[in-house]
Amino acid sequence: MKNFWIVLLVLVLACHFTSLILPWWSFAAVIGLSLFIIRFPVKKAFLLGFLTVFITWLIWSIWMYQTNATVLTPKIGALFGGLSPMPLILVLSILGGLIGGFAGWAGASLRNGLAGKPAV
Amino acid sequence: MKRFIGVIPLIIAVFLIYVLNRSLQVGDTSLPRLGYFLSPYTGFLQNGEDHPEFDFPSSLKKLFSAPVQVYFDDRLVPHIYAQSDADAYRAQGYIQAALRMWQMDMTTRAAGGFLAEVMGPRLLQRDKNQRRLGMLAAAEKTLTQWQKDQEQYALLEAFSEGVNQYIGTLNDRNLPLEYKLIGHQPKPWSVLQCALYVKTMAQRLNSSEDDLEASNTIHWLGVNRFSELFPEINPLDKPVIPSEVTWDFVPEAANPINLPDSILGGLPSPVNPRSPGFDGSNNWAVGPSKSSSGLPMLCNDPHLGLTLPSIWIEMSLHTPNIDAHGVALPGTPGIVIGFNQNAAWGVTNVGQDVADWYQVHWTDTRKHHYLMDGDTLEITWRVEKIPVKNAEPILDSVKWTVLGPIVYEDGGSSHVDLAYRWISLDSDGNELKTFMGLDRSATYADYREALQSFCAPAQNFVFASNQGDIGLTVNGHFPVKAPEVGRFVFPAEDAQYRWSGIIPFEQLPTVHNPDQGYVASANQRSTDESYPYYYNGHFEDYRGRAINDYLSADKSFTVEDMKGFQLSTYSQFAADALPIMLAAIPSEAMGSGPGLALKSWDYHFNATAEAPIYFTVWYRILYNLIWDEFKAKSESEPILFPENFLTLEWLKNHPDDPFMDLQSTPDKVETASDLLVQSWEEAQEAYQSIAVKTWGEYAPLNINHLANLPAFSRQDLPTGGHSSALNATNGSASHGPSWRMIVQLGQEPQTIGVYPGGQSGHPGSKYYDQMVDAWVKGEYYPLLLVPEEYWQSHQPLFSITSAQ
Repeated sequence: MKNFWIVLLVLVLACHFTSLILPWWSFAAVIGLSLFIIRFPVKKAFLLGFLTVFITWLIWSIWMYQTNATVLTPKIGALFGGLSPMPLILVLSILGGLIGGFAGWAGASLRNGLAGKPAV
Repeated sequence: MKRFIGVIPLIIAVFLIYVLNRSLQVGDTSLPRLGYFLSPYTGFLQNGEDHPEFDFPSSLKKLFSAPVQVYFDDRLVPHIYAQSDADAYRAQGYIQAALRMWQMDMTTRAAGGFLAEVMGPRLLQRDKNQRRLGMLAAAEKTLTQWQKDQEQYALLEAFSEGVNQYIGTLNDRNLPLEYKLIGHQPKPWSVLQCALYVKTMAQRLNSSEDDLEASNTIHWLGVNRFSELFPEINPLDKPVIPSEVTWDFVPEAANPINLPDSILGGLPSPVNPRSPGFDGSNNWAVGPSKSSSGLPMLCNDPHLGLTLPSIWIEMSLHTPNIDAHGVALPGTPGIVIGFNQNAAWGVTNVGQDVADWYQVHWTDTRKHHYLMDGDTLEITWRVEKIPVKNAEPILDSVKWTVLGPIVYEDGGSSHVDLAYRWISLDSDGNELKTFMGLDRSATYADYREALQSFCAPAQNFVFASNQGDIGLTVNGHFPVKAPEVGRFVFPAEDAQYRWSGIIPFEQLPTVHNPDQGYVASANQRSTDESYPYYYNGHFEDYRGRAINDYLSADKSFTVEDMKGFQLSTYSQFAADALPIMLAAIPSEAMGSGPGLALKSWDYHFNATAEAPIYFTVWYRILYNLIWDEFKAKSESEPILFPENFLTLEWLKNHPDDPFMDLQSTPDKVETASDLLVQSWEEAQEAYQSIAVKTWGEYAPLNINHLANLPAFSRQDLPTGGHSSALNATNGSASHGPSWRMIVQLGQEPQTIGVYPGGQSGHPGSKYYDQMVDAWVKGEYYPLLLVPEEYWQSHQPLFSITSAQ
């Protein structure tokens, strides 16, 4: 279990720094590859992927919103069906999380598949 | 099999990313690339601008010949200090782009027919129309004209360089928000876009014509009835150039025409319909004799479509040759309306008709040859290549005659082919040079000199200087033509119906220091009938009278008075109309409520008043009853409708005109008083369904984002005003005073101004709509024209420098 949290922390940092430079979806490659290398059961891999991106996007969104986007975020929320800033940030973080989750699942399931083990 | 199942999550993940990385089409709207747009690392959260930040990129710093300093004041107005004019325009280009890139891009795309390239095929027809009207051709021709003046052209190139330096700083993260939403990127800027900007202003302001409607109408009514109902002159009008001005020149000849035996009727809807609002404006200047302080004052409030970002951007330019402050059009260098140490200038639109349609007489069935003065000429082709998003570009071959392009053909429903003769297609002026010249002008002579290179859109240029001069010139290119030419669609081949030249600059209507002590224009007719040249057009009938009444009063004025005039919601139209309407209604039929409100109304369209609602509704019903024949006819073809001033005259002096008789009651003959009573009864019923109690709520103003996104718009603003009042706010058309400026010229100019928007075009900035509320309330800001030393003792919002 300890392993899980350490990996999550490392992934969050890796996801953050990659996203600062590379295209928006680059975190998926990082997560997929990491969970291909470090073996986790698929459910945990999904959870890891989800939490990695959810946490990264949530923290970074709140930071960006609070420091420089308090004027803009409500307007974008209005554009997306009248969401207030925090619900908007929650929704986008969940969306990011889902992509991360599938990336993690993909990494783990490929690893398990190649190793000939059943996907648990 | 297991191995196959193991790949499924990968497929899902890749598919999810693929979908979220694409711009999806949902019905008519295309969604942004959602993953990109929502990611806090690349998307909208990168566009927050709670704290605007600026710097010159190092590549731009290297282009400056000497250090450039820019101080932004507390409204984000840049004050640019440069050692050379080229450097100042370079910095101006960079800053305009940094604040307004997307607006500049879209405005020029819309002008030149390049919208489908980024918005998709649904805008193809619009692009096609623009091309067929000759907009891109005209801009290209303008460019060659501008290139002849190398010194001036170098300044335009410096400006464009500045814009491109900004574009060079963009990446997928700092790209302006709308680019992320729509999914495109700015292309390199060139002087051609500046030319397109000038052309789009010309189209907006100087392409208003109703030749097709007028032809249909005269065809329907006959010449006599038409001349009665559509007189060219409103006897109550006070023209731009006061009657005290006389004309001591011999005009170029234009021989009177014979109206052709039959003027065409049944013409289709025009491709270039009049904009819903009346693009008008007010400007005036009072000389020392009319000013309480003894200092000349100049005021200008151009009325235009109101949008966010605003059409204007405020700036201050300082070089050894220039010290100018005012508003610029984002996408062009210089200051368009503003002031300097010694002088101030402003513009209102000239409503003269400089766009005419001619019927082309083909001599072959392929329509490749046409008649012109007895000769057969061959058309020339211009192939318009219109790029379309996610599709092959469309090629549109447009035929050009010596008069202009054949806009109506093939795809159009027209049974005749029309050539478009528009002054802006001549493109032999240098409009930006005029404004750049005004920025540098100190004296009346400088002003006259600067005006000479201006072609279109023709404007009433007002001027005042601290030497006590005031002046007003109806300036631009105007055709020499015989009476009635340009009102209807005429045959192209007959020279008598065409323009025979351009009125020389020295013969344009102008006034300098008149005895009346003031000059004023408000889109009314340029001159009285003594002016030797004929012109027709579309002129305003009420604002010109109002401002002349105010300024001709036997008193002198203060800056506060000037504010009061600009903000005046008094409608001369209502003052003319309502007494006629009320006189016909017996007092017992007036009732309480609306009737009482109307009786005690002072003709001010104030936001909090209710009478303006009742007047507007009643007049509309009355108008439709009087001209019911026109309403019926307009359902089959586009026609003209009688103007308001004529309508009032008909009510007063022609109560038994056959048009007063309602078509819907064949067994009864109505007169004006029947219609007045009936309209009042119908109005009472209409009032029942009106839920609001104030004019501000009834006719609220929307200032919409250029892409019409409500979240980026300011809507339901309770402004007062009316298109016939000096404060010409027109809520339903999102139209009104786009800039209000009052300058008092002394040793130091004292200036105030405001526009309904904000300096930044970025919806994420608080400077996006910062001035809207002040504008609605009728407040002004002091405008600073200060030397650079000022900023040593005053704190700017922030400043940037090109010094390494």
